[in-house]
Amino acid sequence: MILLWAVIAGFIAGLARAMIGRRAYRAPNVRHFWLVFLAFLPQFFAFNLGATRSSFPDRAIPLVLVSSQTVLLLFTALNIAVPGFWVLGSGLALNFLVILANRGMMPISPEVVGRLLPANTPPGLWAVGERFGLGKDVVLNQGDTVLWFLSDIFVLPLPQAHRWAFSIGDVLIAAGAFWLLWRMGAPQPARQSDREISGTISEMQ
Amino acid sequence: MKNAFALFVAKIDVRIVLFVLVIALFALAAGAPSATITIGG
Repeated sequence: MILLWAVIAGFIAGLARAMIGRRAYRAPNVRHFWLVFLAFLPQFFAFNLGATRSSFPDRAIPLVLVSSQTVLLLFTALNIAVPGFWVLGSGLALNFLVILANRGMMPISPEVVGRLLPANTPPGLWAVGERFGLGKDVVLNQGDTVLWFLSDIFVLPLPQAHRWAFSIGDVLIAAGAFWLLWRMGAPQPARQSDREISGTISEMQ
Repeated sequence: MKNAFALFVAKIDVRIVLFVLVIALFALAAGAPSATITIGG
C-alpha cells in the first residue's frame, strides 16, 4: 500500500503540474504492458486476495516471487529507453537480487520485526526461519542474511499499527513511479527524449 | 466542483488510465514492503 501512495502522489502531482502549466498530461508509450498483468496475477492470489492468500502454501511463495519478478525484469528491459524506467528497474533489480539470494523471499530481521510489531504482540505469531505473516518476507537473523543491506531494514516512524518495513529497492521503486508520473506533466522540451508520446489529457482550460 | 470533476473525467484518455494502472501494478509486484497488518492476515 505504501508504494501505491507514491503512485497516487505522482499522478496528482504530475496532473497538477500539467494543469498549472496549461499543458497536456501525456503517457509515454510502453511496450508489452501485458507482461505487468501477467507478473501481478500470481502475486494477487498469493498476497492480496483474501480468499486465496490464507490458503496459499508457503513453499510456493518463492516460486511466485521469483517468476513474477523475472517477468517484470523482462518488461523493464523492453522499456528501458522510457525515461524513469531505469529507476524503477534499479529498485526491482535490488529487491530481486536479495530475494534470489535468500530462499526466494525478502528477508526481515527479528530486530526489524520487533520495531514493526506492538510490544504486546502474542508470542508465536512469527519465528526465525519462517514466513512473516502472509507477506513476501521471511524472518532471518542478520548474520544469516545474504546482502542484508538490501533487505527490509527501514521502518517508517509512524504509529505502531501503521508501520512499514521496506528496502532500498522499495525506495527506488516508489521514487521511480513518482518521477514517471510527475514527468508526464512536464513541458515539451523535457520530454523530447521520449521515443513516442501517446495518450493525452488535453490542456485544461 | 461537479463541473471540474466532469471536465477531468472527460479529458482522461484511456491510455493514461492504463499507464497509471501498469505503474501501480508494477510497484506492487516489484516492491516488498512489510506491514504490521501482514501478520494479522
